[in-house]
Amino acid sequence: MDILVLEKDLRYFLKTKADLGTITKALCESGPTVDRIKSINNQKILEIEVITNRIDCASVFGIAREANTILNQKGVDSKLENNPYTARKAASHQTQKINLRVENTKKVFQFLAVTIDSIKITQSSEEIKNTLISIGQRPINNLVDLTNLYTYLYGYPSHVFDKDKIDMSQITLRESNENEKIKLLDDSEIKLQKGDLIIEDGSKNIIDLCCVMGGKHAIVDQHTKNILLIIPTCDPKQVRKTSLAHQKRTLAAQIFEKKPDTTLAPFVFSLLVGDIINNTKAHLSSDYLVLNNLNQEPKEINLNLKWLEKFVGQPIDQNQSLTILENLGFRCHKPDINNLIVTIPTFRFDDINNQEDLAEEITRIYGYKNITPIFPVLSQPSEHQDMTFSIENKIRNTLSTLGYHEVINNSLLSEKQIISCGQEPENYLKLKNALSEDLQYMRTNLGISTIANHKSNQGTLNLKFFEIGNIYQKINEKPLEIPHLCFSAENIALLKETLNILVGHLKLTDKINLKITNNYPSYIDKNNHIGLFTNEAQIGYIGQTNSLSTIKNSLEKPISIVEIDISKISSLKPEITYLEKSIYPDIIEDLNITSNKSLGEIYGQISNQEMISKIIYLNSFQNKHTFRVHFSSNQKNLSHDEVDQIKKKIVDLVS
Amino acid sequence: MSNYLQELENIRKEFKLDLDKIVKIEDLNNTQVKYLGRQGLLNNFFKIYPPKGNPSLGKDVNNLKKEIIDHLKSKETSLGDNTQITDLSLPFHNNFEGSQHLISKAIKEIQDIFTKIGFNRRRYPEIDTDWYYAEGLNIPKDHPARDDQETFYLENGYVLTAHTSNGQLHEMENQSPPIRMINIGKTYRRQADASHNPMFHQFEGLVIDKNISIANLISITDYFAKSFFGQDRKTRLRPHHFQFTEPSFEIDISCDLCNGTGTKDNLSCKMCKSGWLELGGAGMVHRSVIKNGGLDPDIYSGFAFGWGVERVLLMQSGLKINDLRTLFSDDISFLTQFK
Repeated sequence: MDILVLEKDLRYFLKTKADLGTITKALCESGPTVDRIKSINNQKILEIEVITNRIDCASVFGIAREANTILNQKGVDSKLENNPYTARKAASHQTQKINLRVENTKKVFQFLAVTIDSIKITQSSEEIKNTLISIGQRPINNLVDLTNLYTYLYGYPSHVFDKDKIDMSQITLRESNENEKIKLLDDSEIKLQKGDLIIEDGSKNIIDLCCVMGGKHAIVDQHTKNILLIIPTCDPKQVRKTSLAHQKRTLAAQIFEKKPDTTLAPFVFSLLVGDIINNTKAHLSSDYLVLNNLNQEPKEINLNLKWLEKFVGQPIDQNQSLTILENLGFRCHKPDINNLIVTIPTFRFDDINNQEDLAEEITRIYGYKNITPIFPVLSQPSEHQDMTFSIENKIRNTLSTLGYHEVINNSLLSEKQIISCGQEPENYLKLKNALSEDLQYMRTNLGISTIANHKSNQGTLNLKFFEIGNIYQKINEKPLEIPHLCFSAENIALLKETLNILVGHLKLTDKINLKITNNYPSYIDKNNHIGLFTNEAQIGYIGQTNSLSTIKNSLEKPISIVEIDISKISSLKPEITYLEKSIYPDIIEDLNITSNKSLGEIYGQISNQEMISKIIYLNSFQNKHTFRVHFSSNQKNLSHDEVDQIKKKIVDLVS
Repeated sequence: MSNYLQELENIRKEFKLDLDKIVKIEDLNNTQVKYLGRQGLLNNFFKIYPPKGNPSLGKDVNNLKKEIIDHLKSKETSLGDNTQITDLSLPFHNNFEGSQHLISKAIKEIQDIFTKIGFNRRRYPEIDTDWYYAEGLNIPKDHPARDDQETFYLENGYVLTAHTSNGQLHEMENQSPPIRMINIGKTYRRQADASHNPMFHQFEGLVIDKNISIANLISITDYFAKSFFGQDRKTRLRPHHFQFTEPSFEIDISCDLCNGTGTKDNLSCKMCKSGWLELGGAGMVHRSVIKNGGLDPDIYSGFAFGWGVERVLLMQSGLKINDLRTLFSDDISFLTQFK
């Protein structure tokens, strides 16, 4: 939450000779961060970031309270003045009671109310108007402006109603029913949900969306003579729910949903009443209504000082810790030399729950920059290592050197993309609240993305892409993430050669086989693909896009894709072999084979023979294939007869 | 006696003739061997005319030897001058294909910085249950820290994680202390504008052991900042709040544009806030989270940090990329710039 604080108002609470630069630096180091200092009309305005658990800082007084502690810690003299917690509670001598009925006391923590008569509505003073404008608020009239000013100064919102527009015979604070309506101050009309907290008058008019925004029914205007002033404090969870559901993120809602300190409310109420009466020459017309439902036992936490030293990583003088805590409003007593029993002040009640919270308070005021860094010692290595990452790096290095460009595509696809690749959106994990139609489904393969990459770059020749990323499978409605590799090019022979080199670099040449398979993506051509297998399972495929997908995806010509499941190869142990070269020279001969068997089968038959040291596939024409074969033996010089015999054997086996 | 002088003169004359016949390096080499080699003419000379007892003979032979060496050297130089000239002066170009993605390289650099000091690289799920994503991290339902508007949800109820902190709980389940984890993975947010892409990357560090302290946290985050950004950079901690850490911090790094002063050329620095740039959040792991990870928070303590990969990448390189979404472009003219 960001707030604006004027220097002049800060100094109303903070009495110190320190200049603004010193105060700002102190705050940044140990407390709420001052993002920027603006200068408007000779006024200095601080833009401060208040963190979500420190609602006690969301006001000028709160910032002053923090600054006071930090400055004193740094040796700069400073005092808190005009502390609202020390304000005198003004008494009311009126006997008229406000008739309040609360339905769900669990959700109403505190309710303060009083009526004031003979109000004179005017414009606020120039000073108040300027203050409000400087902090980005619009001055309305002296009454409303005062309530806004108090919210700014003390962080406790209040609300005023025109009493004459309300049937004061009975004020009810209750939960709304579904479909009840309220017209709000901003002229919007909302349909309430079940459980919103509302205030209703004796004639069943809904006059307030409690802790969020007032209703238009009893709005204060220039004719208002008498008012009802309230400070309600309700269940923060309900306030947040109501405010989000109706999208009324008012300042009041933002404060109440973070549970401000109810102990402060009566003081602020008194000061406000006093100000209203003085400012507008009015007088109280009812007794104070004070309803307190929050029963908070004082909270005590034990702080072990030996533990503190270990947690911070260096000793902090015990007296210093004590002083810091006491300056922050914590009461301490020492039952023994190693422990402190710390009583939490009301304005930090929900925020401080354990020793670690106290450690934070001490160390931040002490100064994080005063902690000497210590490198932790690792006592033993981890049980689990993952080879996937080193394989992925090897793949990246090889493919980029071979001319492929790495892309990082979005994990989400559009329905259109899925369908133009011939796949079913039902098989994909789908987002419930996608940002756009283009990004709705989690991809189950990388091929669809690579097709899109080629399409985006139509017109550029020789495109070669690769991507390493997770795919997301839907298994019985549960998601399964698997790392995949995909690389693609325009020419399938080139792509296969790349695959060959890649597999070689990973030292898996003899572990990955090419086999016919029916398991390939719907966008791949049935006559132009083959499966990649290990001994255990299929790990992927290489293939070309079919005509239908090529056209549907607006590609000028088919592209070729390899996709591999990396998790299935990361467990393979790479094999390093060394073959000593024979001292006897090789006999190199070209083998012309006429056969209808696949190249893979023929190759397999050749390599099964003895004395074969190398096989190079040269070319084919229809079913006539040429291989260049190296024959060698470790024992002797091979004769041509022996080579001819082997050749004949091969030809017989494959014809 | 005068025989040897005549003999030397003959050798000299023969050499001059041979020298003129040299047109290529092989000839030079052959001539060198003929006169200066182990079986060469000069060495053989000593077999016929032993130098013992005849100092002037030795001196004369050496003079001839030196003469021969000098001539051969000049010949070598002049032969060298006759090779064909190749002009090698064109500056290097980037017109070759193949590249690794900027983000992948940044991830590798981050990974290496941490694995070097004993961290284990992990990649925990991008899709997770609400428990691992929020509840287990001490963010109960209906808590203001949950902003439903920024998180993607799948139809089956799972969350598309907007941070890598779910990794903390997974790691505590998989690995007993001491834990040093660096979880780097994809994260998602319902936001798309010049500074946000719906999909991006984060890296999450986690250290859990006995007696891990705030001083340890400062040392590690400082180590990363200096390794990644440079030894002259400084870091600072500011109090902050996250549900899953206590204490929580924001970590800033000194701005390199204004050297951490906040002003450049007497104007306030455009890049930073008063000399500091936000790096990201960190903190001591909340005891509830340690408990949810199956460990006893009274025995173990730890710290964690979670920062954006793209953010530190852009801060490090000073790449003038105005729209973060460009990093995820598949346009070849973008990809090809980063080998």
